[in-house]
Amino acid sequence: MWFPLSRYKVVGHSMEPTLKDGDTLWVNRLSYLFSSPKLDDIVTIQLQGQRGKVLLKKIKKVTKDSKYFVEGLNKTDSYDSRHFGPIDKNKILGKVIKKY
Amino acid sequence: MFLKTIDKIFPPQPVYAHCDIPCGIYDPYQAQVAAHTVVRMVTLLDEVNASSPEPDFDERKRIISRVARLTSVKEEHAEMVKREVRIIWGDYFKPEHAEKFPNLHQLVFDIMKLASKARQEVNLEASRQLLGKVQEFAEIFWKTKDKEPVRVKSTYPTEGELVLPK
Repeated sequence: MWFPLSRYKVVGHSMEPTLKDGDTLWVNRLSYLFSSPKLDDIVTIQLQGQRGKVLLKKIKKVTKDSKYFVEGLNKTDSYDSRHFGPIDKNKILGKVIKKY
Repeated sequence: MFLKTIDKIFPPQPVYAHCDIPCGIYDPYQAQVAAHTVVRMVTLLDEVNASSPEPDFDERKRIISRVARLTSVKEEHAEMVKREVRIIWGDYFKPEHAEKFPNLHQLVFDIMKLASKARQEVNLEASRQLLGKVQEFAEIFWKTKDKEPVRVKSTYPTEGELVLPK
Protein backbone atom coordinates (compact mmCIF):
# COMPACT_ATOMS: atom_id res chain seq x y z
CA MET A 1 0.00 0.00 0.00
CA TRP A 2 1.33 3.47 -0.92
CA PHE A 3 1.48 6.11 1.84
CA PRO A 4 2.53 9.73 1.42
CA LEU A 5 4.64 9.41 4.55
CA SER A 6 7.17 6.61 4.83
CA ARG A 7 9.39 5.55 7.69
CA TYR A 8 12.97 4.54 7.03
CA LYS A 9 15.78 3.31 9.22
CA VAL A 10 19.27 4.58 8.33
CA VAL A 11 21.85 1.91 7.49
CA GLY A 12 25.43 3.12 7.08
CA HIS A 13 27.55 6.14 7.88
CA SER A 14 27.64 8.33 4.80
CA MET A 15 25.23 10.91 6.26
CA GLU A 16 26.95 11.33 9.59
CA PRO A 17 27.03 13.42 11.67
CA THR A 18 23.55 14.67 10.73
CA LEU A 19 21.95 11.26 10.35
CA LYS A 20 23.48 8.31 12.08
CA ASP A 21 23.32 4.59 11.50
CA GLY A 22 20.12 3.38 13.18
CA ASP A 23 18.22 6.70 13.12
CA THR A 24 14.59 6.46 12.06
CA LEU A 25 13.24 9.00 9.57
CA TRP A 26 9.96 10.27 8.21
CA VAL A 27 10.05 10.88 4.49
CA ASN A 28 7.39 12.89 2.69
CA ARG A 29 6.85 11.35 -0.72
CA LEU A 30 4.64 14.23 -1.85
CA SER A 31 7.14 17.00 -1.11
CA TYR A 32 8.17 17.34 -4.72
CA LEU A 33 4.82 16.74 -6.36
CA PHE A 34 4.29 20.43 -7.09
CA SER A 35 7.75 21.80 -6.37
CA SER A 36 11.35 20.96 -7.06
CA PRO A 37 14.03 19.70 -4.69
CA LYS A 38 16.11 22.50 -3.21
CA LEU A 39 19.74 22.78 -2.25
CA ASP A 40 20.56 21.06 1.03
CA ASP A 41 17.38 18.99 1.07
CA ILE A 42 18.05 15.51 2.38
CA VAL A 43 16.31 13.08 0.09
CA THR A 44 15.78 9.41 -0.54
CA ILE A 45 16.68 8.24 -4.02
CA GLN A 46 16.44 5.03 -5.98
CA LEU A 47 18.74 4.21 -8.87
CA GLN A 48 18.88 1.46 -11.41
CA GLY A 49 21.34 -1.30 -10.66
CA GLN A 50 21.06 -0.99 -6.91
CA ARG A 51 18.76 -3.98 -6.47
CA GLY A 52 15.87 -1.76 -5.40
CA LYS A 53 17.83 -0.16 -2.60
CA VAL A 54 16.78 3.25 -1.38
CA LEU A 55 19.72 5.58 -0.76
CA LEU A 56 19.95 8.66 1.43
CA LYS A 57 21.67 11.75 0.03
CA LYS A 58 21.82 15.54 0.20
CA ILE A 59 21.14 17.84 -2.77
CA LYS A 60 24.38 19.68 -3.35
CA LYS A 61 23.77 21.29 -6.70
CA VAL A 62 21.09 21.75 -9.34
CA THR A 63 22.61 21.53 -12.80
CA LYS A 64 21.73 23.71 -15.79
CA ASP A 65 19.66 20.89 -17.27
CA SER A 66 17.61 20.61 -14.03
CA LYS A 67 19.34 17.51 -12.75
CA TYR A 68 20.40 17.06 -9.16
CA PHE A 69 23.91 16.47 -7.92
CA VAL A 70 23.60 14.50 -4.68
CA GLU A 71 26.27 13.63 -2.15
CA GLY A 72 26.64 11.92 1.18
CA LEU A 73 27.76 14.12 4.04
CA ASN A 74 30.60 11.82 4.92
CA LYS A 75 32.40 11.97 1.60
CA THR A 76 34.94 9.27 2.30
CA ASP A 77 32.17 6.69 2.75
CA SER A 78 29.63 7.66 0.16
CA TYR A 79 28.65 6.46 -3.27
CA ASP A 80 26.98 9.44 -4.87
CA SER A 81 26.86 11.83 -7.84
CA ARG A 82 30.64 12.01 -7.83
CA HIS A 83 30.40 8.43 -9.11
CA PHE A 84 27.08 8.15 -10.92
CA GLY A 85 26.57 11.77 -11.99
CA PRO A 86 23.62 14.10 -11.47
CA ILE A 87 20.23 12.41 -11.25
CA ASP A 88 16.79 13.19 -12.65
CA LYS A 89 13.96 14.35 -10.40
CA ASN A 90 12.12 11.09 -10.97
CA LYS A 91 14.89 9.23 -9.11
CA ILE A 92 14.10 11.22 -5.96
CA LEU A 93 11.50 9.41 -3.88
CA GLY A 94 10.91 11.97 -1.17
CA LYS A 95 12.24 14.48 1.29
CA VAL A 96 13.37 13.69 4.82
CA ILE A 97 11.18 15.79 7.08
CA LYS A 98 11.88 14.44 10.54
CA LYS A 99 14.22 12.26 12.52
CA TYR A 100 13.08 10.55 15.69
CA MET B 1 7.21 6.22 22.60
CA PHE B 2 4.19 5.66 20.38
CA LEU B 3 6.37 5.79 17.25
CA LYS B 4 8.91 3.40 18.75
CA THR B 5 6.10 0.95 19.46
CA ILE B 6 4.87 1.28 15.89
CA ASP B 7 8.43 0.65 14.69
CA LYS B 8 8.54 -2.59 16.64
CA ILE B 9 5.27 -3.82 15.18
CA PHE B 10 5.88 -2.49 11.66
CA PRO B 11 9.64 -2.04 11.23
CA PRO B 12 10.63 0.86 8.95
CA GLN B 13 12.31 -0.09 5.71
CA PRO B 14 16.06 0.49 5.42
CA VAL B 15 17.46 3.52 3.65
CA TYR B 16 21.11 3.12 2.78
CA ALA B 17 23.61 5.79 3.68
CA HIS B 18 26.23 3.82 1.81
CA CYS B 19 26.27 1.42 -1.10
CA ASP B 20 27.28 -2.20 -1.52
CA ILE B 21 29.19 -1.48 -4.69
CA PRO B 22 31.61 0.25 -4.31
CA CYS B 23 31.81 -1.28 -0.85
CA GLY B 24 34.34 1.15 0.61
CA ILE B 25 36.73 -1.71 1.29
CA TYR B 26 39.96 -0.74 -0.42
CA ASP B 27 43.52 -1.49 0.59
CA PRO B 28 46.76 -1.24 -1.41
CA TYR B 29 48.24 -4.08 0.66
CA GLN B 30 47.52 -6.75 -1.94
CA ALA B 31 49.15 -4.71 -4.71
CA GLN B 32 52.29 -4.38 -2.61
CA VAL B 33 52.44 -8.10 -1.83
CA ALA B 34 52.02 -8.84 -5.54
CA ALA B 35 54.81 -6.38 -6.42
CA HIS B 36 57.10 -8.03 -3.87
CA THR B 37 56.27 -11.37 -5.45
CA VAL B 38 57.30 -10.06 -8.87
CA VAL B 39 60.65 -8.94 -7.46
CA ARG B 40 61.12 -12.31 -5.81
CA MET B 41 60.28 -14.26 -8.96
CA VAL B 42 62.74 -12.22 -11.02
CA THR B 43 65.44 -12.81 -8.41
CA LEU B 44 64.78 -16.54 -8.48
CA LEU B 45 64.80 -16.54 -12.28
CA ASP B 46 68.17 -14.81 -12.23
CA GLU B 47 69.46 -17.55 -9.94
CA VAL B 48 68.54 -20.38 -12.30
CA ASN B 49 71.78 -21.90 -13.53
CA ALA B 50 72.85 -24.93 -15.49
CA SER B 51 75.70 -27.09 -14.23
CA SER B 52 77.35 -26.98 -17.66
CA PRO B 53 76.93 -25.28 -21.04
CA GLU B 54 75.31 -28.46 -22.33
CA PRO B 55 73.32 -29.99 -19.44
CA ASP B 56 71.81 -33.42 -19.81
CA PHE B 57 68.19 -33.93 -20.71
CA ASP B 58 66.91 -34.39 -17.14
CA GLU B 59 68.59 -31.20 -15.97
CA ARG B 60 67.18 -29.34 -18.97
CA LYS B 61 63.72 -30.55 -18.02
CA ARG B 62 64.17 -29.36 -14.45
CA ILE B 63 65.41 -25.96 -15.60
CA ILE B 64 62.59 -25.54 -18.10
CA SER B 65 60.03 -26.55 -15.50
CA ARG B 66 61.42 -24.13 -12.91
CA VAL B 67 61.64 -21.23 -15.36
CA ALA B 68 58.08 -21.94 -16.50
CA ARG B 69 56.75 -21.97 -12.93
CA LEU B 70 58.60 -18.82 -11.88
CA THR B 71 57.56 -17.01 -15.03
CA SER B 72 53.95 -18.05 -14.56
CA VAL B 73 53.86 -16.67 -11.02
CA LYS B 74 55.66 -13.50 -12.12
CA GLU B 75 53.10 -12.93 -14.87
CA GLU B 76 50.18 -13.62 -12.57
CA HIS B 77 51.37 -11.23 -9.86
CA ALA B 78 52.35 -8.44 -12.24
CA GLU B 79 48.82 -8.64 -13.60
CA MET B 80 47.50 -8.66 -10.02
CA VAL B 81 49.38 -5.40 -9.35
CA LYS B 82 47.65 -3.84 -12.33
CA ARG B 83 44.25 -5.12 -11.28
CA GLU B 84 44.50 -4.02 -7.63
CA VAL B 85 45.83 -0.57 -8.52
CA ARG B 86 43.23 -0.14 -11.24
CA ILE B 87 40.38 -0.93 -8.83
CA ILE B 88 41.57 1.57 -6.22
CA TRP B 89 42.29 4.18 -8.86
CA GLY B 90 38.99 3.71 -10.68
CA ASP B 91 36.62 3.04 -7.81
CA TYR B 92 38.09 4.73 -4.76
CA PHE B 93 39.98 7.82 -5.88
CA LYS B 94 37.89 10.89 -6.57
CA PRO B 95 38.67 14.12 -8.45
CA GLU B 96 39.57 15.93 -5.24
CA HIS B 97 42.22 13.29 -4.51
CA ALA B 98 43.76 13.85 -7.94
CA GLU B 99 43.76 17.60 -7.27
CA LYS B 100 45.49 17.12 -3.95
CA PHE B 101 47.99 14.63 -5.38
CA PRO B 102 48.62 15.86 -8.93
CA ASN B 103 51.06 13.02 -9.69
CA LEU B 104 48.41 10.35 -9.02
CA HIS B 105 47.39 9.70 -12.62
CA GLN B 106 50.98 9.68 -13.87
CA LEU B 107 51.88 7.30 -11.04
CA VAL B 108 49.14 4.87 -12.05
CA PHE B 109 50.24 5.12 -15.67
CA ASP B 110 53.82 4.34 -14.63
CA ILE B 111 52.64 1.35 -12.59
CA MET B 112 50.73 -0.05 -15.56
CA LYS B 113 53.73 0.33 -17.85
CA LEU B 114 56.22 -1.08 -15.35
CA ALA B 115 53.95 -4.04 -14.57
CA SER B 116 53.78 -4.79 -18.30
CA LYS B 117 57.55 -4.52 -18.53
CA ALA B 118 57.91 -6.84 -15.56
CA ARG B 119 55.74 -9.35 -17.39
CA GLN B 120 57.59 -9.06 -20.68
CA GLU B 121 61.13 -9.20 -19.33
CA VAL B 122 63.22 -10.77 -16.59
CA ASN B 123 64.25 -7.37 -15.35
CA LEU B 124 65.11 -6.90 -11.69
CA GLU B 125 65.48 -3.13 -12.01
CA ALA B 126 62.03 -2.78 -13.58
CA SER B 127 60.42 -4.99 -10.94
CA ARG B 128 62.04 -2.94 -8.17
CA GLN B 129 60.85 0.26 -9.81
CA LEU B 130 57.38 -1.27 -9.94
CA LEU B 131 57.48 -2.01 -6.22
CA GLY B 132 58.64 1.53 -5.51
CA LYS B 133 55.80 3.05 -7.52
CA VAL B 134 53.24 0.81 -5.82
CA GLN B 135 54.58 1.95 -2.46
CA GLU B 136 54.17 5.59 -3.53
CA PHE B 137 50.63 4.76 -4.58
CA ALA B 138 49.97 3.18 -1.17
CA GLU B 139 51.28 6.29 0.56
CA ILE B 140 48.90 8.51 -1.36
CA PHE B 141 46.03 6.14 -0.61
CA TRP B 142 46.59 6.28 3.15
CA LYS B 143 47.01 10.04 3.09
CA THR B 144 43.60 10.38 1.46
CA LYS B 145 42.26 8.37 4.39
CA ASP B 146 43.90 10.87 6.76
CA LYS B 147 46.22 8.11 7.95
CA GLU B 148 49.92 8.70 8.19
CA PRO B 149 51.67 6.13 6.00
CA VAL B 150 54.71 4.41 7.44
CA ARG B 151 57.22 2.15 5.76
CA VAL B 152 57.90 -1.03 7.69
CA LYS B 153 60.40 -3.70 6.81
CA SER B 154 58.69 -6.72 5.35
CA THR B 155 59.57 -10.22 6.44
CA TYR B 156 59.78 -11.28 2.81
CA PRO B 157 62.95 -12.60 1.13
CA THR B 158 62.91 -9.44 -1.00
CA GLU B 159 63.83 -7.59 2.22
CA GLY B 160 61.78 -4.69 0.92
CA GLU B 161 59.30 -2.53 2.74
CA LEU B 162 55.54 -2.36 3.06
CA VAL B 163 53.60 0.88 3.34
CA LEU B 164 50.99 0.63 6.09
CA PRO B 165 48.82 3.14 7.97
CA LYS B 166 50.38 4.24 11.25
